[in-house]
Amino acid sequence: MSENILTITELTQDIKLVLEDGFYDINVEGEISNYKAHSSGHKYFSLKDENAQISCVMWRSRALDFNPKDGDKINAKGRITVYPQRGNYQFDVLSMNQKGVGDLFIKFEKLKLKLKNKGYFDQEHKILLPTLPMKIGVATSPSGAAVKDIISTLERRFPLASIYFRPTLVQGDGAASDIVSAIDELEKSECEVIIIGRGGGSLEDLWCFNEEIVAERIFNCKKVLISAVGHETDFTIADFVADYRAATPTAAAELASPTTRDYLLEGLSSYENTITTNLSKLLKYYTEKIDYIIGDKTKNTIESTIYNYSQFLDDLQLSMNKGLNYNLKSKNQIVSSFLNNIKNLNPHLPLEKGYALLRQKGHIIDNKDSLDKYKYIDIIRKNELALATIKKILPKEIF
Amino acid sequence: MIFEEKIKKIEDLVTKLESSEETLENQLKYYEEAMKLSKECKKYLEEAEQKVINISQN
Repeated sequence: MSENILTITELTQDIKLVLEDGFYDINVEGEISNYKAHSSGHKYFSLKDENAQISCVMWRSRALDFNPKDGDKINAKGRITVYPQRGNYQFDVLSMNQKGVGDLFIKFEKLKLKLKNKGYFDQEHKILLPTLPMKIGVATSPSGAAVKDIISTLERRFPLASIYFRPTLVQGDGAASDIVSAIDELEKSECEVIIIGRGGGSLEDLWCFNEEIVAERIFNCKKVLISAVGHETDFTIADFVADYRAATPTAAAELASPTTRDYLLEGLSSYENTITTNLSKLLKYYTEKIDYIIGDKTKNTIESTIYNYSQFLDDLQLSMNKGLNYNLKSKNQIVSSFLNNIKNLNPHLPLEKGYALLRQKGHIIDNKDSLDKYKYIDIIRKNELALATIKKILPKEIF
Repeated sequence: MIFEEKIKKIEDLVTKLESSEETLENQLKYYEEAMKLSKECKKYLEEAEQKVINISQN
């Protein structure tokens, strides 16, 4: 029968598995001893009670908000890890708090659960930020860095906004009730957004933001409320109830100024460009249209004027011709009747018809003259002249 | 007109100007109005200084 022989490494691996799987999320209480803060930032110590002890390590990356020393009674949260090279197991501390503060942790978790069950954290109760908040309420300590950070951030991003600052107690006795009155006052003021918060600190320092009266007041606030308590890693009940949670007061001011001055200035410039381009295009279009219309119209007018004139000229010529013709015709008529008249006056005309003229001493004898004064007369016919002597003159009646 | 109203008005005018269904006369009117408001807003933005109003503690 062959026994199953393990190497030390294999054994240690098995122990590691058992221990690390079995103790990965545990809370312990104990007293610190042999506390050493290494220059690397990691802390090494033991936790003990009357009958046992365990070596502990707290890596530099774990947040710690108090300075532990030997003898401190603490609550620690962590897991067991095995260090194979030494064959050691140790408690890897994720976080720890001084005892008493540990009670606060339990209180925090209890209240968190209670409010969560009441629906205080539900998304449906959250109010949306306006896009252009012009009045921003701030409730924080007048002496802390938070108010300076908020003001300088707003100054940089959106100096148009007025800040309604309500100096507020954010630590110690009476802080919770002062935060409640600050929210009351800011809610009644003209501000559109309320920022409540403070800089970082220990759980005890931040505790007022975990009080139930503060949570109630935030939940019932009818204005948008941003909670900005502590650093990135600090979460408070206020953060969960608020409409928005900002990691820091600076981040809260950024949230409260969603539209920045630079953005607006750029936007206005781009509007100006757009409408100027549009309008100049439109004006160009109309100018071309006008040119086109005027060009055509003018051409038409000139053409039709020319046509009109030439028509007129034609007409004129026509009527002139007509008039001329008429004139000529009537002139002709006049001339021909004149000629006729002249013809009629020609004393030789009757000769053509066989009549004769009587002449005496070169004068034609007309009807007014009586022949009885003459003895000799010339009788003129068309082709003959007779020299005649008058023998006797008789009155007309006897013809 | 307060700042936000001016911004809103400019946005309305730009929309109208972009629709180009307006008469030229109206377009010119809107353009002038938008430019005037924009200049006013820019001036306001550039000259704005943060105002901090203290609400006294009881």
